[in-house]
Amino acid sequence: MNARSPVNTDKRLFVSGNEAISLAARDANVKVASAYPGTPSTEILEYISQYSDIYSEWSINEKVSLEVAIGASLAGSRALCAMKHVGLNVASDALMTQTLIGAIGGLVIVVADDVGLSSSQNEQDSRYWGRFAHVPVLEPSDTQEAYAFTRLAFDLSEQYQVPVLVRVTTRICHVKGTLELKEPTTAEPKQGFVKDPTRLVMVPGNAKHRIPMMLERDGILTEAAEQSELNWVEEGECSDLGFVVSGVAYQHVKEAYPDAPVLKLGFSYPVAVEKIRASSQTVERLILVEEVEPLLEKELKAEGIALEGKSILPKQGELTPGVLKKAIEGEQEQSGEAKPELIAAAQEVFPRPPTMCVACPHLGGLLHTV
Amino acid sequence: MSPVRIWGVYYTLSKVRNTYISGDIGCYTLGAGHPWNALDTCISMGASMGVALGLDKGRQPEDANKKVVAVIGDSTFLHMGMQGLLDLTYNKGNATILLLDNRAVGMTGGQNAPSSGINLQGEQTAQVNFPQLVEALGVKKERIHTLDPYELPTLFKALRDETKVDDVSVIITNQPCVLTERYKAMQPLTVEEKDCTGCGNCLDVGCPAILVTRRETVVKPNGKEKELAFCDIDTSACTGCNLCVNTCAPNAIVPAGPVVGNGYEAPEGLAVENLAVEVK
Repeated sequence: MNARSPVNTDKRLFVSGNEAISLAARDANVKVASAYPGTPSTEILEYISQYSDIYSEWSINEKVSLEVAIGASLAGSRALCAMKHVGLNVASDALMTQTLIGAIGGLVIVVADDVGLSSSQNEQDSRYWGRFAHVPVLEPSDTQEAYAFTRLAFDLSEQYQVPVLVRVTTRICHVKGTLELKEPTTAEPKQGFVKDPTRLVMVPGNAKHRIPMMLERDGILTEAAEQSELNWVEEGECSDLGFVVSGVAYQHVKEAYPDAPVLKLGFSYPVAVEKIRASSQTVERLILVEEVEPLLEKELKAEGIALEGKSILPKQGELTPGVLKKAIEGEQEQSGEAKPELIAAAQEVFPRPPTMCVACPHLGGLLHTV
Repeated sequence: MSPVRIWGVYYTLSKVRNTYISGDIGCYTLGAGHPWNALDTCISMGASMGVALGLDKGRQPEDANKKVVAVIGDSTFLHMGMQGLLDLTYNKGNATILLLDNRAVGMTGGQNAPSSGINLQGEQTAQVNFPQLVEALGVKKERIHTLDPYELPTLFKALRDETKVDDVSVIITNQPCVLTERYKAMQPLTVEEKDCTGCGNCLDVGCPAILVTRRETVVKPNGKEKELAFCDIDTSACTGCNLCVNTCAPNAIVPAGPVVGNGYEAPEGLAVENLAVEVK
């Protein structure tokens, strides 16, 4: 399906995170965009296909898709590749070596995790790929950040010559929010393809010399994360309880504990350990809220930072305000967490489990016969 | 692919100008090395296809006239390359694919693959038909060529012609890996020392059996110095493929010892002068 809506030209919009990412690609002067459809990332390329200045394609799979984006990056163009979480399993073969080559034109991989499994076979946490592939991970928490972080990802990619992961989740992709557009990038690529076999041809003799570069880049990116404006502290009146959050967990924490101080990680890998350590000492109880694996939690505990995480929070599914309240404050239900009239309304919705379509050819061709 | 079978391909590629060449994973990745320097990228299994499309679609205005070539072996193509070729045709790319079919997984020692039609147990089984396969993946029939990689002028002409076409082309080379039983060695070669002029053209083939026995620096009439490299062939290593014969203008490369039954008969018109005309 290619559901298309009219191209937005206003400066202030009400759009989904996926459309915000597509607008970011447009305004970041992306030349090539590729994807294989996958919930919850699919609409990104559907929107991008409306922009005539961008070559966009449905690729055969996520691996080929990333390779097309890589080729464009090597040719000097900015390139975006979007996929769902399991797609990066397929594309990882290219990613794990491309990290040694790095990016030339900005190379951004938007990977959308289906937290809650609305339409997926598992709930894996794509932030692991940042660690595995030694590439930075940005985690927007709403529509505006989906736009801003995607644009920033291209700048980071070119500044540090590294592919950048923008990790979003279903909640970010599909929820609509207000978006204020910024001025488009006008800078054109500096040059076309430059032959450089020692960098671009990853035979053993060349690749082994790229590994020290990658390790050095880890240190530089860690410093960048420590200094990044994407990692910021929001003061709160509460001194006994504070939070470290990444991604959409920020919204859930703000809704459940509006008075608590929050350290929000937008540039979540490499981990800005020292920044977190400094703010961890200002509250009595520090809780790390991340979807879904205890990834930052393990890394920060290894650094000697005292905090709670998946010892009290669920290791599966979205950490919505109700889930947080229940986990943090015990079984006692909080009166303010959900308004009774909303619960009543929700109960009246008729259940709509996934099913086949009316008149689907598979009904006769496969299901009835089998 | 095993090295011996690719020398001709890379010798040819190294003579092609104005071209970006995406490479892949296999013994043919060695084409990135000296003296061919014929690969520009190598990332992951099958990546030559997608990267070629990205180089095509992401090219800057200054690269508007560059040709894009992808190089991939048969078993890598079957492993992960087919999807990339389908992406190229589906998305209207413009690239020329060199599909180097030596009917083996060459780099690991010549193991069998669906391209060989023989399984792990050595039994005959289904053998993939590459022209049919790539046609099914959307390559137009007239853009598919199967040829002998030892016939350098034919290879060069096919490459030159297909890179001019704004479409996806596939050139399949069809000689087997030298590590397998399919390969039949021929009369080994040697160099007539008195006839070698030291031009060094044969070294561009990159064959390990060709040795430099003596180097000299001469001063040409115009006053410029020229390096000469006089060569010999290690007859015990040579399998008589005759690629080097194609490059030797003074015909100094000859069969070692008396010619046996399957000895090489050089086709006419394969001297290096003819190649040089094509190379322009």
